[in-house]
Amino acid sequence: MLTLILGGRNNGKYEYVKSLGYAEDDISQDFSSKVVYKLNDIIYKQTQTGEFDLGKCVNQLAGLQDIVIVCDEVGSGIVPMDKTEREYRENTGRCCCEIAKIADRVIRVYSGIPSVLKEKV
Amino acid sequence: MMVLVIGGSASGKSEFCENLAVRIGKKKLYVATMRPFGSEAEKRIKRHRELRRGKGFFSVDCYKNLIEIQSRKAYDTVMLECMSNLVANEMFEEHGDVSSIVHQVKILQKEFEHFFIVSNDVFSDGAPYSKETMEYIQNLGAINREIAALADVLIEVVAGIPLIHKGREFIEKYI
Repeated sequence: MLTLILGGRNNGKYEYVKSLGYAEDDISQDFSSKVVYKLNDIIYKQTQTGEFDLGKCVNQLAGLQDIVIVCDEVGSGIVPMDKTEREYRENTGRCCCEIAKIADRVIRVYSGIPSVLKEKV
Repeated sequence: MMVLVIGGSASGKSEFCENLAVRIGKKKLYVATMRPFGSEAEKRIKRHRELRRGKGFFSVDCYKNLIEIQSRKAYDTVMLECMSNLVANEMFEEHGDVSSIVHQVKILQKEFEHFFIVSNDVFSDGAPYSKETMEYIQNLGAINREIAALADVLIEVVAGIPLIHKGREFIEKYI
């Protein structure tokens, strides 16, 4: 089961994950944890170093079982002047599109309220 | 039917809108508004071309004065990609006129059976910008709102998934 949780910064994604029964120890910026928290931060670092690879990132996440991926929505602003910042937004958006395709559930948390965008039956 | 599709950068809005236009339209005109300046723009345009391949669109460039496509009467369906570039071109290029965009959209809405407009959500980064950029944000926001009011359908795309804000009854069977 792969769950993708999206939402703008500070919209309550962390609280929502905890409400699903996950403990703080389950949540980290590590692909080996139960909840991969702030995927966008991981993508940011990989974009800075130039090592980000969309296919590789998606495959790695798709290979995990019973995983929750939490990612900020970062594309709803003016296109940044800085190249790395632009690539970061692009990489994060594309990555979310690809993960959403293979996810069993996609949830968006908006002002603390979760909405189901996708639910595989 | 007029459909406005809005999403952030890399939200999957274009691909979603293309696929919707393919399901609904017959003879389809794709109107591209991005000027091919620089390698990134070229890369972006190339990516969009790849996405459209085999979907049966005839593509034209229109950087300003959208009303020029009114003469393309052989088409029942138009997809405009995208409003955010058109607004920038009309605001920042010579002989531009951002104030006439909505009026032109109104005319084209009557001219074509199906009119799909892609626009950008640039409104949520909360960052301060120069006066010019703030004006751009205000203009795009106002144009999005006016077109949304005129449109039959308003869809927000998040990670390739549509959220229907208006006109569910018209569009649900195509999604």
